[in-house]
Amino acid sequence: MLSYLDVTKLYGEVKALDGVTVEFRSGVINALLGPNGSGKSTMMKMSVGLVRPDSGQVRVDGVDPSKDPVAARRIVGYSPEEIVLYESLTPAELFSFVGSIHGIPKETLKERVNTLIRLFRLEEYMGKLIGELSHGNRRKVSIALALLHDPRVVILDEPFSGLDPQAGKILKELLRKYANEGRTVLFSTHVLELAEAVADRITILHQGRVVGFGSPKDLKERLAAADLETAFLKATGLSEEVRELLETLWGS
Amino acid sequence: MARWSEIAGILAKEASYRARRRAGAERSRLIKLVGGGLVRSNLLGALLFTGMSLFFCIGAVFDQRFIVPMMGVLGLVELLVGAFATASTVHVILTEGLLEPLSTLPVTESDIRLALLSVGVYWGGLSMVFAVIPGALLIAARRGMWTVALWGTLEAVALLLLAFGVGYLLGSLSPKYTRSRISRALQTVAWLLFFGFGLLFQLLPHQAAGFEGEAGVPGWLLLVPPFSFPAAALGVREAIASSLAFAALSSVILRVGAGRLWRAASSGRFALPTSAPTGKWVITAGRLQPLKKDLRLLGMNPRMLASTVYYAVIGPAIVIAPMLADVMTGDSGISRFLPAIGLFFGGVGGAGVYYLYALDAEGARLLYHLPLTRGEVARQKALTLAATVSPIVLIVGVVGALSGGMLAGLAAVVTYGLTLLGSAMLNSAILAKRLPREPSAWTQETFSKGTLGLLMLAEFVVFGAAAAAAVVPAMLFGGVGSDLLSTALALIESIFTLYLGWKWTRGLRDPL
Repeated sequence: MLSYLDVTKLYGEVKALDGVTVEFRSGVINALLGPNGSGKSTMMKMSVGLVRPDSGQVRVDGVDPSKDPVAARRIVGYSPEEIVLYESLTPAELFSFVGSIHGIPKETLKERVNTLIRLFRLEEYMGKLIGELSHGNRRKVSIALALLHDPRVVILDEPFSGLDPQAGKILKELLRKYANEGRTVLFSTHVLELAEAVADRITILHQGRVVGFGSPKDLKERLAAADLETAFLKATGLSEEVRELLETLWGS
Repeated sequence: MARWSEIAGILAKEASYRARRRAGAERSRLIKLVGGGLVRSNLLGALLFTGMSLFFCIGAVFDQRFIVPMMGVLGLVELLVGAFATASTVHVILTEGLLEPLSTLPVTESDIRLALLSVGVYWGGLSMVFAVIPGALLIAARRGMWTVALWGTLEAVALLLLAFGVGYLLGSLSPKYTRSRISRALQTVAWLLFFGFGLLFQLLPHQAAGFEGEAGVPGWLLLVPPFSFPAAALGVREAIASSLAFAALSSVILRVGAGRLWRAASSGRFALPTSAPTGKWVITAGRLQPLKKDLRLLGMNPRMLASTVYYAVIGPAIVIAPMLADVMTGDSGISRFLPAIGLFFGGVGGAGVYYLYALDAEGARLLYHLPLTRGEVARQKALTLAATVSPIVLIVGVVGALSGGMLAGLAAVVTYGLTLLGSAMLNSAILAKRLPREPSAWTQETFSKGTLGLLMLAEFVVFGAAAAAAVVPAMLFGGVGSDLLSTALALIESIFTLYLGWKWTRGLRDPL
């Protein structure tokens, strides 16, 4: 389970997170939505101790990532939004390296790598340099690396960005499998249809605060919206802004 | 405003912003001190170069025979420093992708060339010419030889153009990865030759020493730029032709270099064909994977490989070679000092670990997601350095065995190996502790060259003193007993260094 209790984070004078309290339960797929700069990535980075909260508490299966990031990183499989990998290494070399850091035995590592590369169809790229791979294939490598140590908590920042439909479908199925196995699954996205189709629970973040939480159905009902896009715009208070902007530009 | 000047302004602002953002507090203080404006960016360098230029040329004021060698050497300094600084700047420009946003705009190659030239001049390039011009002016004023001022200025400008051109060529080579081992080996050798350029400063005085000719150097050197410029000022006709041809060639190299840089930037960092062969792959496991990863990264990056080998091996070798030669010619029994020399050599070489941190910046953000402590990173880097220079350990051993017998060879190998590993761990612990908390802040520029300079200086002092202490018994008393005592002292010091390094890295339990 991943929980945030009254978490605040300031970057200078900008409040990235403002008293966020939310619990991402295990056994379900959680989606984190929010406009650009709403604090989604900051929240996710906190789970592996990359960002420390100024106040409040974060817990990953009982571990405080700001106090013991090494322990948190053993529990969490995290794939960041911005993919930065060693470009002069091959995926095979990278899997070997990351596997050894996690202390995965050779046979288990081989088995997991084989499964992941078959799922994401990476076999033919395993001997190429990461620098030679397309954005989509780098994304697949990044996600596979996050899942390599069979984490109890899976946190993926914009994982569907750049993935082809086939890989997207596989990832959705994989997330569902992980949730069914009782793991904690959290991903962020800007594609609301995707969140609606995949997630069991949705958290909407705006200006560092949680402005919506619940299943897609609950959110739509509570906000009297026909679809998740409308619910999202209502929850964030952006629907009026969008309407005014369009009127100003196009006069309609 | 011309288009090239707008491009130059944007490049300068963007690079300056990124340097401030990424280099952290250490660099920002320096920027506050010297940065912000053409004059202030060049002021410190100009003062240093002016001091050096005047110092070198004092002799030439009193004796005409010093004009050619001194102005020639100053020209080499300008070329070396200028090319290295430009190559480093270009490397940042390419790895940061500063030119990439321009690649989709209707910008001509000549705009880029002029923009890069002006950015180079702005970022300290202007200060380079102060290595030659003040000295030339001093000579001209004191000896009434105004041709020296004229040719000195031409020399400075031509060398600046060449330094930029060579820097562009070298800098645009380095960020590309190539599968070809031959190509990587050639690039590594090219970088080693470039770094070894400094050896010229040791060779030239030997060449010029005792030469009684009017120009102070052998005749053939008068035709070789940059020595040909002061020779032209002295009226050597062939030198005039040589200097003018060199100036023209410098402009061509600048043009070619800028063109190559622009093509490298606009084609992206990786010019590898997408149809490159897949290659065999295998999944391996075990504790040696981090070492294998670092060695692989090093092998893929000729510039860093050359830097590591140079600073860990060749640099210290250059320093101790004259001492070694003196000891050998002095018939003092080299074998008696081998363990202490191994201690010094290994200790100073430990600073080479600095380059492994710069190298890892390529994908260091991944490390921050892994369950790693700073101590583990520090030990991994130290082991990689030891593995990289391990062939040298054998050479040390062979030299030792040939000059002083098997036992001396073995003692030299052991003290060198242990001290190198220990010193690498100490250096690595210092660097790992100072790694930024923010993953994106770990870049090639995280640790400045000043940090490397300080580390090396500290090692020269500490391990110089340690080696000196070890040779005291052998120097004072002589005889087998005192030689054995010296060897034992060197061994104890090297074991202590290793213990200290191990303890420091073990104590670093903070996560990345």
